This record gives sequence, structure tokens and C-alpha cells, in this order.
Amino acid sequence: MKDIFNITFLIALLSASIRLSVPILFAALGGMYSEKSGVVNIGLEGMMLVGAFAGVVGSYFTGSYWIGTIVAVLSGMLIAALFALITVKIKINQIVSGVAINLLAVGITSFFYRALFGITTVPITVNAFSPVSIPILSDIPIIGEILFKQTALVYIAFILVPISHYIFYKTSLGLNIRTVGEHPMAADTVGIPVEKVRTACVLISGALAGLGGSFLSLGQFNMFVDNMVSGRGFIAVAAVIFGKWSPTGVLMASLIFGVADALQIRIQMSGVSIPYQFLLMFPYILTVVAVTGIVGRTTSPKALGTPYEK
Amino acid sequence: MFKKRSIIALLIISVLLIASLSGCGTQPKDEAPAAPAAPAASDDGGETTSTPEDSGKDYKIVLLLPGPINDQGWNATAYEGLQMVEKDLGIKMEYIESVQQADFEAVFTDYGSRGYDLVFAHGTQFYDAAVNVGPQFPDTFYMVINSEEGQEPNVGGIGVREWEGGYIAGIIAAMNTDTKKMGAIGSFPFPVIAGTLDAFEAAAQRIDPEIQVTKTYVNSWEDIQKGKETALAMAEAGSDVIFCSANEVGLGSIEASKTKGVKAVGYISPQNEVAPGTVLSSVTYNTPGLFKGTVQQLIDGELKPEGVSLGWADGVLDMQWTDDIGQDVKDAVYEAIEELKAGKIENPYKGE
Repeated sequence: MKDIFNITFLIALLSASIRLSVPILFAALGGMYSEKSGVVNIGLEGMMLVGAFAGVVGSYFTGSYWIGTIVAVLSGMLIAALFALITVKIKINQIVSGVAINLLAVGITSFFYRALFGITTVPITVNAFSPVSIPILSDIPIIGEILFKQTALVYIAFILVPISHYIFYKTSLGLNIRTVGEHPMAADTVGIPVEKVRTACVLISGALAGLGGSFLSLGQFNMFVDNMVSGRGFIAVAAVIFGKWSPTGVLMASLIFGVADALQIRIQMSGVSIPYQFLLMFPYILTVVAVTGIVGRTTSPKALGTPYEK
Repeated sequence: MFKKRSIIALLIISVLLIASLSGCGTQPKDEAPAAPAAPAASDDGGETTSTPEDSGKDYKIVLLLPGPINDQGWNATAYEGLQMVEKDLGIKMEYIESVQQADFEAVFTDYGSRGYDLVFAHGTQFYDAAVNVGPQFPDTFYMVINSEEGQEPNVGGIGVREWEGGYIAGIIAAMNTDTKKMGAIGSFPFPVIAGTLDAFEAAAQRIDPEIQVTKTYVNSWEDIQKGKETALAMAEAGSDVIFCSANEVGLGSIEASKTKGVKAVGYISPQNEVAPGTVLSSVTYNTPGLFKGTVQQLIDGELKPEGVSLGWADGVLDMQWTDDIGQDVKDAVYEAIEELKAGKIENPYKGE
């Protein structure tokens, strides 16, 4: 315990936090697009899993992890298109459809993995990302070590935050999305195509969740294993709420979850006599706190969860 | 308009259902099951197990797994067992993957009422359900792997003394550490897993009492990112050999060991090929042999409703060596194996 708060420890802790928060950040940003437009996306977990799998398949057959990432994005969009069809066009309950998407994803990824690679005792490995040091920036003491010696996907995740902020609050497209999520009838009256906007937002959420999945399978590993997302999609759903549906809020929420997880591992290791279950609960307690709104009134889009009927 | 819409909805939902079922549902390896009321096999005089007739007889056997067969660990070794039974004994077994806790009794009842001869359940968590359902179907034998208990008339258990595997892993690790710090990762602090980690520590400290073992739990069998981050944190804190007893999570810890240039000990399935140069050697489970042995007992009519506990002495554990391992390590390991076989070492499990 005595040597726990030295500088090397801090660097290791924070860079682990970044790695643990990036998959959540990708999916939560995606979930935010969908929810801003009024569609609850519980299916993020499944979309991430499909992305993780598709990324490995893409990299396996082309030898390029960048193509793998693109395949992951497209596959995430494909399953999101199905979700959009069910929820936006046919207007089935969004929560139920999201759960269905998650179940479907577990099934199809496992099925196609076996169809393509058979049942193996050693996992199939593919080309994957390795950390890239950004010149100059990575030489900054401490911060360089934490932020600028990561894989390319990490940088993409963080760049997406200001981009999303710009889209939502500085462009007419963002205004349209927010209008559709707050008051679809008003949006329709002024000529905003409600269903098109919602479909587009769900597709974006699928693309970003797919990226998050490929970060796990290609950014952290070079393989796919069944159900490797392990609940990060659900944490992402919570991060959207915790982050109050704003890009910077979502960034903060994802980082908090990442830090909680990284800290939990280290506190457990240091042999502090707190029951380890309590430490493992920490991220989830935060989630419950977020959802119940103890940290302040959460302001969800008004039309969230309700399909728009003309 | 509304009608058309609901038809499309129905169609999509059924496609979804079928697709997800085909992914994780049953994969019949046998012909279609006969009518439930007519169990063809083994019923002369109310015996609890089938009687030996001719070896070409059809047995109906099913294997229930708590996870997917390609988890590179616990469930994968069971699937190998199924293949071994098919190859060596010529008996085809069915299997079901990812059976959820809530469905245990229903699945047991289903196979009991369909007159199966033998139902394997791959994990101690199935035991309570087997005891509840077993008495209703005296013609079906329920064999729970990793349970050290059984119950009359038809529930058996085969326990693997996993701590004996952890003990050997501890010896290999202790003879390869320079920093005298090692990390041990477990899935959940079940007695079996905690006992394995305790044995790892006890064996290491037998080699060198100064060795410190950091033990942590990840609360998952499949979260490989958490496995990787845990092992990275251990390596950063000075551990130079990592051991993991948590299925797929183990792949994450091996990946982290490779990244950090430290060593890992493979466990359960032969993992030397996962990262050559990083994995020192693997302590493997001869789980396939358990299945073959049990099916052989079924054929011979020797299945007993009791729990047995198996370890090195019964050939359930094995070693997969790499070329990097010196003779001194092998000697120490074989010496410890002999002691375990002779029952000279007590289970070091410290309890809660």
C-alpha cells in the first residue's frame, strides 16, 4: 500500500483506464446519436459483439486490420439497419427489439466463427493494431505516456467527441436530430423526415458500436472469443444516461467507468482488506446511481422510446 | 397497411429467433430422437443403468455444457471428450451448449422423459438440479462433472482435484521467477478456484518461501480484456510469472504476459501454442478421458451413484512441456506429482 501512489503507478493506472474506457466510449457515443433522435438502443452490446467478430474476419481474410475495422463498422451498421427496420419502420417496442438484437448477436457470431474457423483449441489470430507513439506529443512527461502511446483507434475515439459536439450543437443536422428526439411532430411539421433521421442515427450508433467491438478484438487483442464484449455495451447504455446525453458528458462517464475498473484491479492486488466483491461492484454502483438520477436530474430527450406515428 | 406491417414484424421476429437458436441451441449429433415414451435402450428389470448386451447397441447420451464449445478451456475439453467417445467407442453423443442455470432442471427433465441412458452435466453447478430431477427418471443416469458427491439411485459425480493442477503450476512458476513475485488470477472465489490459487501459492513457497503471490478475481469466465488488464497490472507491480484459472480470461492474461515480456503457465487446455516463448508449459486436464471412462462404465453396467475425486493418481491431469523447460524443473515437477499421487500433500485451501 505504501508505494501505491507514486508516479509510475499513476501513469499505469491512467493508461489502463484509457484502454478500459475506449470500448465504452465508442459504443456510448453511438448510443447517444440513437437516443438523441428518440430511439433507445439496448442493442449496443450485440452490435459491439458483431463488430468484434467482423473485425477479426476482415483482418483474417485481407491481412489488413484497417480493412478489418471497416468491415466491423459496416457489419455494425448492417445489424443496426435491422434494428432500425424493426423499431423505426415497424415500430416494435425498442427495448424488446434491443434485447433480441443482443441475443441474435451472440448466436450469429458464435455460429459464423465455427462455420469459418471450426472448433479450435488455440484461437485464430490475425493482424491487429499496435500502439503508435505520436511524435512530439508522446514526449510530454506523464501525459504523453498516458495519452499518446496508444493504438490508432484510441485517438479516433477521442477525436469523435469534439466532432460529435460540433455536429449536435453547431450544425442544422444536429438541430434536426435533437428536434426529432424532443418533439417529432413539430419536426415533421417543419419538414424534417423523422423516420429518415432516426434510421440514420441508429446506423451511426451501429457503426460506432462496431468500432468499439473492433477495438476489443483488434485494438486490444488479435482474436475473437465468444461473448468477449462481456457487458460493456450495457455499461455504455448507462454511460449515455450518466453523461446526460452530451458528448462531453459521455466522455466523462466513460472515463469514470474506465478509472473505476482499473482502480478496482489494483486495489484488489494491493491486498487491502476490502471484500473484493465490493470493488468489482464499483462500476455498477455508479451505473445505478447514474440511472436513478442521484447525480442530478437527467434530461432525456422527450420523445425517447416512443415511435412516431403520423 | 397495418396487416402488412404486422406480417413483416412476425417474419422478422421468427428469423431472429431461428438465427439465434441455431447459433447457441442444440446440435443433434444423433438421429431424431425416438418417441418420448419408448426408450429403446436398457430396460430389463428396472436396472438403474444399462446392462451390457452387444457393443453395437445404441446408447442415448447427451452432454450439457455451461458455455460454448470453443471457449479454449473447460467446455472445449468436454467437446474433445465427446469426440473421443465417438472415435474410440463408436458412440455418438449429443450436446447442448450454454445451458443457463435457470434451465438446468427443465433440461434434465426433458432428457429423462425422453429415455436417455446417460446425461453428462459439465460443472458442479448442475448438481442440485440433478439431485432434484434424478429420482423421477430412474432409467437415466445423471453424471455431474466436478461434483464430488453423488446420490442414490442415479446421480453420480466426478470431481477433479483442481488444486493438484494449481500446485504443479506453482512449482513451474516458482522455478522461473527472478523477481520472486508472481500473479494468480481466478474467475470467482469458489472453493475449487480459490483452492487452486492457494495451492499455486503453497507450491511456490515450498520452492522458495520468499516468493509473494498476488491473487485476484475477475468475476468472469470470458472477459478477456479484464484478464489482460489484470495481468498487465500484475506485471507492472513486479510479477514475472502469471497463472490464470478462468477459461477465456486466461487468453487475456497470456496476451498481457507477452506484451510485458513476462512468463505465463498454461492451464486446463494445452496453451503452449497460444504464445510460444511466453507460455512456460501447460498443466492440462485429461477431461476427454473422464467422458470415455464414464461411457465405458455405462457399457459395462458399472456406473455407481456416488462421487469420486480424481487427480494425478488417476491420470486426469497431464503436462504439456515446451523445449524451454530445464530438466531441473521437470524433475521437481515429477517429484511433486509422485507426492500428490501418494497423497503426501494436503489440500492447501485456506477457506473463505
